[in-house]
Amino acid sequence: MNLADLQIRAQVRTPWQALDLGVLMARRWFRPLWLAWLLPAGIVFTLLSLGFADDPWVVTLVIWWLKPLFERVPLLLLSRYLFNERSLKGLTWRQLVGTWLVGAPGALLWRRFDPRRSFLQAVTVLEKQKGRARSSRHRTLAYGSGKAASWLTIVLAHVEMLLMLAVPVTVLAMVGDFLELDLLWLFGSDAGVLAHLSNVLTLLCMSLVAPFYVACGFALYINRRIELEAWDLELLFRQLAQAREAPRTQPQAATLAGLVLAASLVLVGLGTAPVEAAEQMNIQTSPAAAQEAALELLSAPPYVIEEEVTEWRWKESTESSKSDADLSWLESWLDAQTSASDGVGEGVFRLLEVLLWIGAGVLLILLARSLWRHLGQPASQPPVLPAEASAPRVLMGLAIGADSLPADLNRAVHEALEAGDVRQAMSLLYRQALHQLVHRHRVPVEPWHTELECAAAARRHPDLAGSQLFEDLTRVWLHLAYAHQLPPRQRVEQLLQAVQREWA
Amino acid sequence: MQASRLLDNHCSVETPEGIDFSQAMAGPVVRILAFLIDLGWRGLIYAALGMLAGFLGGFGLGLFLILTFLLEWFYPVFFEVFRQGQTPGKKTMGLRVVNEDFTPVGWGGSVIRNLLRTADFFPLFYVAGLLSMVLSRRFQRLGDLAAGTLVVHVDRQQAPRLDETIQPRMPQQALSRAERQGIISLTVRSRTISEPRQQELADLMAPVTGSTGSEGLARLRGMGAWLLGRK
Repeated sequence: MNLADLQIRAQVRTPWQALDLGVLMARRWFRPLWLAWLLPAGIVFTLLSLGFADDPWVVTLVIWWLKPLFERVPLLLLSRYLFNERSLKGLTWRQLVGTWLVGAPGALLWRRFDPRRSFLQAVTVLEKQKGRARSSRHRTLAYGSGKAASWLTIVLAHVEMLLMLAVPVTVLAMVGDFLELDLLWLFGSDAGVLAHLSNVLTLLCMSLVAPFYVACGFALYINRRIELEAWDLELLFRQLAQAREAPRTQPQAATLAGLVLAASLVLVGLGTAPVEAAEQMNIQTSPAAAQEAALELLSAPPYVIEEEVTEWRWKESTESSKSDADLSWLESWLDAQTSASDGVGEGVFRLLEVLLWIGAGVLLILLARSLWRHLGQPASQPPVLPAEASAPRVLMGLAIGADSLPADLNRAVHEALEAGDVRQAMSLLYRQALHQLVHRHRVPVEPWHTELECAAAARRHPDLAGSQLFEDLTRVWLHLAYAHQLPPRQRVEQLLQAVQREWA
Repeated sequence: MQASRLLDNHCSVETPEGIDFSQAMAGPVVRILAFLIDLGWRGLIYAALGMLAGFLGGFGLGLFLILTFLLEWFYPVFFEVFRQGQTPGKKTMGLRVVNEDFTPVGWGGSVIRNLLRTADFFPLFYVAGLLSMVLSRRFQRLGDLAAGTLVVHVDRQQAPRLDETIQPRMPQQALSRAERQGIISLTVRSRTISEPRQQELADLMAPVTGSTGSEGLARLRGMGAWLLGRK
């Protein structure tokens, strides 16, 4: 068992996803798994059919009972395919027979009705566990996955039955009404050739389902092993360790190569070296060559996608004409329906007509309403300024809406100053200034702008171009907010007066 | 080439920006179970409707037939369009219907895939659909193939439960994304993997931890806890 050869992507999956992976496994290796089930079962089936020619039901029963044994060789094959061993090399006949015999009585008697059979079979067949060790192993593995394993058995048993029913039903559907077959004769008789034929059908259906059953159970088992033994992590860690080793060895090699090169240059002499270097430079920087290289790159797969189409497709034109034909067919059918004109059909069409008229009326009303609304709006009304709607209410984390600011700025600032809260006072001033900027002068400010960007926007605005006030405010506020430098009280009062003068 | 041959139940879609999205496709067994759960729910509704219809006589029978028609054809469509591609059965099994590019399924896709149930039903009980599911590359039944839809497993991300006794420690060197993911995975799964096995794994990461054995494992787990946000 070499994890590097693992043929599935190592990953912990949910039990249901593990079942899906099992379907994929069965699909990839279907033929060998199917033959490995069908050949031994076929031999036993033939012998039994010869022996119990008069009691065909015994054959099916025995084959069904022996299922756990027939599933063992496919399981063995799967366990080898999973690690990319495509042959049974190294397996002796003894081992192969041993695969059939190990734990056979238990599998056929008291564990025959365990619904988790395909999941836990690997413990007996592959791990060769016995007795108490086996049951404790079963408990460990079944934790969390036992439910999915049981459902797998239940579902696939029904799928098997469905297939057995589907084949005769398909045949009957294909034959049609031309032959009058007595169905009771088909299903009811339990002796004769027909019963043996139905046995063959049963065997074939079982053999079709078996690879999926084995592979799904095995996938559940492998999923638990990946989870418990962290195969995915081992693969990942090995890869990572390699990746960590690689760059460490590469620089060493590079420096070594450099040393050799330097030595050889010294040995050859200085005469030739510059010429070679110049030639190399030429090759690398010639624009024509670079262009050629670029063109070559551009004509390769990631840039040019060539698609080879090997299937037949309808031309666009024929498709459209086909749909036309479909419509005319529908029309003629409708005509036929109306001309038949029994009472029910007429009633349905009248109802449809009424519905259509109602729909048209509703559409007209909706149209008229929207038209009226459009015309009813007085033309003189000034359009709503988009700035009003989109003006930010919060800038740099400061609320600047009118409702967040005090009505009496003068008093609020003085109160804050009396309380010794210079920061609060400056905040009020700065926010008031921002509010005026955004909502009165409509300076184009975005919610993500910084203080300096706001100042720059104010500078560009024609109303405020001459004013130094906002610049001053910004500077003082920045020093206060980020450097914690409190401005003197007079400065704040001075700014307050300026603000009130500017935006009285 | 070897890597792409590995069996995997995931399929991926690449966006024009070169981002790979990967989803686990849902196979026959889960989908059959989801279907059966839906069938059970519908059966309950039919039983209730049948009892009500019984009181109403002939009119009740007509109503029952109409409702049966609607329920049979539009029950999945309703849930797939309005409940993020999940009928009750699919929700129970953790499945979801999506378009082939993993976008939510719309009216068109859902109606087509459910109308074509008749094709999947042939010859009886969805045998054709089952065969199509097993044979098609992404477990699609005929309706899915026609509508360009997929059934995928819904990712259920569980919050990692960490052992409280692990002492978080900062990694001493820069870690690649794969390394971080691997270390976190080992830390989170430390309850399910046996201790000697964990040490064996930690030894592989000796270049990162700088030590081996139980000390290396402890360091690796500490890094995992640190990477998961315990400081």
